[in-house]
Amino acid sequence: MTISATAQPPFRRLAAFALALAALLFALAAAASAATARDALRIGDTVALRVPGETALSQDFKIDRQGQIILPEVGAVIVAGLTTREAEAAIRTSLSRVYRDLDRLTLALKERRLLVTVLGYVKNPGPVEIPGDASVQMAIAAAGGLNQGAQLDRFQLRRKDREISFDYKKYLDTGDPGLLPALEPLDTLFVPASPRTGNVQIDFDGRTLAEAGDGGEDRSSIKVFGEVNKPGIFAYKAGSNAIDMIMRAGGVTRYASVEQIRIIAKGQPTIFNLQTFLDSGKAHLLPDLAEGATIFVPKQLEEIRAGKNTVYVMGEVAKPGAFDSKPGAGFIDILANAGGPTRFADTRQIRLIRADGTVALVDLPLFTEGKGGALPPVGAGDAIFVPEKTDTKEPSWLKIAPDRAVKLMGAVTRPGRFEWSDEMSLLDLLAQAGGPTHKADLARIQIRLGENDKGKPVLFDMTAYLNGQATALPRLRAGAVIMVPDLPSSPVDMKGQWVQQAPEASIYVMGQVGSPGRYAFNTQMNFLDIIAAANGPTGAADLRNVRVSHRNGKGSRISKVNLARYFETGDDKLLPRVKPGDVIFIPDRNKEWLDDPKERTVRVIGAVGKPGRYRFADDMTLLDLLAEAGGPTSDALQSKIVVINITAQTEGARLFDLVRFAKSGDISRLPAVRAGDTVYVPNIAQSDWKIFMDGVRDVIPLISLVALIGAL
Amino acid sequence: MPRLAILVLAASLAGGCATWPEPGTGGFAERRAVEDPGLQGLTTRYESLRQRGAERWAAGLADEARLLLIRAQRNHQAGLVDDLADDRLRLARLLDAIEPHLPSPKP
Repeated sequence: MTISATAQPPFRRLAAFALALAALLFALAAAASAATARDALRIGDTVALRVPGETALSQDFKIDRQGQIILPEVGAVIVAGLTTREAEAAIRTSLSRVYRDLDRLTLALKERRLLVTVLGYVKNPGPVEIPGDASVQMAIAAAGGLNQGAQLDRFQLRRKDREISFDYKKYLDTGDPGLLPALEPLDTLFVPASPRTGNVQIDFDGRTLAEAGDGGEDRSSIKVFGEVNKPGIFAYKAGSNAIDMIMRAGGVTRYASVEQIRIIAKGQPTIFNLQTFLDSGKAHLLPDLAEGATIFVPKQLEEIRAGKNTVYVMGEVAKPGAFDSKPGAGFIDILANAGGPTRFADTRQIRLIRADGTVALVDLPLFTEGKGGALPPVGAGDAIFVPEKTDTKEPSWLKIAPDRAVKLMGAVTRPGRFEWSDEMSLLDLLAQAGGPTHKADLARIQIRLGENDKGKPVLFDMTAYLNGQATALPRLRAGAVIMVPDLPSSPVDMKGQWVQQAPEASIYVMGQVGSPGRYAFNTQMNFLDIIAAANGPTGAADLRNVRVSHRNGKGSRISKVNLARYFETGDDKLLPRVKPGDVIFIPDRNKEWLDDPKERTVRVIGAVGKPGRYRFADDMTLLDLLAEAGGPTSDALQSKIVVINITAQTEGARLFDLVRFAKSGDISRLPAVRAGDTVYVPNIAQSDWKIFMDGVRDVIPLISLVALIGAL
Repeated sequence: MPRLAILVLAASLAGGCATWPEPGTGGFAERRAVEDPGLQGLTTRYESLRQRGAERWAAGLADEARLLLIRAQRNHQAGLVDDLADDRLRLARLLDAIEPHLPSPKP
């Protein structure tokens, strides 16, 4: 008896059969489940409900975002996820609470739609409704399309708690719908912005974005910069090489050093010689690229030209550089070859730096005017330097070398350092500086011919020059320092400025003037100028007794000025000549007698209203004096006024009878009075009659006594 | 006794007979004609200078001369001869000082 190879124990067969049956059942269940899922109603679907005889119920209903439909009378019924049959049963159950005879109720899927949300860099982000079989592209189109600057290779699909990233650009490149995830109801599609758009909201244009590259995250992009036409960060694609990326960056510029292109890939720097590669075509010379690589195209360094016939032209010429000189080529030839001076060139200060180190100054305008003589010969190795024209507003003092500059300071509109030429004058310089300010003291311009000049500064009176009183301007030279001092401000307000005013340029006004103080003074001014500057005499000023102390001569000297006489006569010769340093004193009229010598006054004493010393002018009379002294008092002996004349050799007294004069008006009886005399107005007690009557009063009792004794 | 009384009375009343100076003159002498020949000459000269413009060309000196002339006339009138001589001298000098300031007289 043989045993068949196929013969197997019965339990084995049974086990195999059970296993196959289980697999079959599982497959059937899975298929049924898939079919159920495919046939199940979804959010966004539209179902057609029909109940014969019930028009209110026989309508199309849309399954909302909650997965339900809203039925009349019974309200919401959840149908999403159910098959049509299951949903029909659920509806029938709900309606049976209100309706009868629902046996003929039918439900069918009428239209399938998708409710998704599109967010991010799209034109109209928000929920969109699309056909049930719509793709990502249709969802984006429903959201208004992409904004410029959307990062195409980093799209995200968010479904419940899951996030799916996909490369939309790849789909666009290939057209393969399998690269896009299938949409389901309530999915959220997010379109990110490219990092190139920066952190500031700007309406980008495609060209700008494209020029900045299309790279996304740095770790996967290629940076191309240096001497390329459009540096940027570009998306890496597998298989791209350095030439591809350089081409994407617009190619190299004409300044690029194509032999020295530097590539860093995977942390390894490599020098790529594009020139050699192009010459040879050998692929192994092309370095591999990787995500995150960096390509730098350096600038080609200028080759230093040098030779035995080379002449260099530098500075403000149209084409500076090195030129090969030929025998016979002159200064102008070389300058012309360099394109000539630009409009910024200072052609008056061109320097020829010879190979032996000597320097020659070339004044080209002077040469063109035929005054500069011959231009210097230029030899091999020489350099012509054309400096930049100095802007007067140029703040940098380095522009003008110290040996060419003069310094102008003080009260000018634009003080500073100015370029000097010996053909200039002080007036040119002041004009260049915008002229003196209104506060400038032009009468005392101080000049030092150099910073190390130890002599006394030259003082220049420009006012005198302008008035024609001086003919010569001071000689200046480069390096000079010129100071235009300020006129002092009001001495009342700005006493602090007095210290800035030299004593030898000041005059002093004291006493009864409006503003006593120290005033700037020069030889152009006179006595009245300074009195007027001090606001003139006050009301209490004693104009007849003005004193001037002349301090600049040897010894002391005082001038007495009768300013009142000047105002009466207008005679300028009465005014003293004053100089800086002098002191003018205008005394107080109310204290004048303290200062008046006795030879100038008349003493009025006795019975007058105001006895005292009174200044006396020769055209005054005794009557003027008595009036000034308040007149005789009521007890004055007016008929016996005594005038004591003090002469050079003798003294004598004269009597004046005021009463009689008043009655007769006889001026011949008025005694002469001169300065130095004394007027005495006696009291009535000193009259002859009063003395006589007093005597009688004294004698009568005595006579009476004698008579009484005699009678006894 | 009566003789004694008369004597006492006379002695007592004698106090009322005080001595007063002579009345003075000359206080307004410039209002009168100048009598002193020397002063007349100076006055004439001053007037001449004034007519030649002394008050314009040498106003200060002319004013001083005017005052000095008044003083001299008063001194003369008052009999103060010492001072008069001094005044004459000063006045002459002043008039001399005025002279150069004036324009030359027309021929």
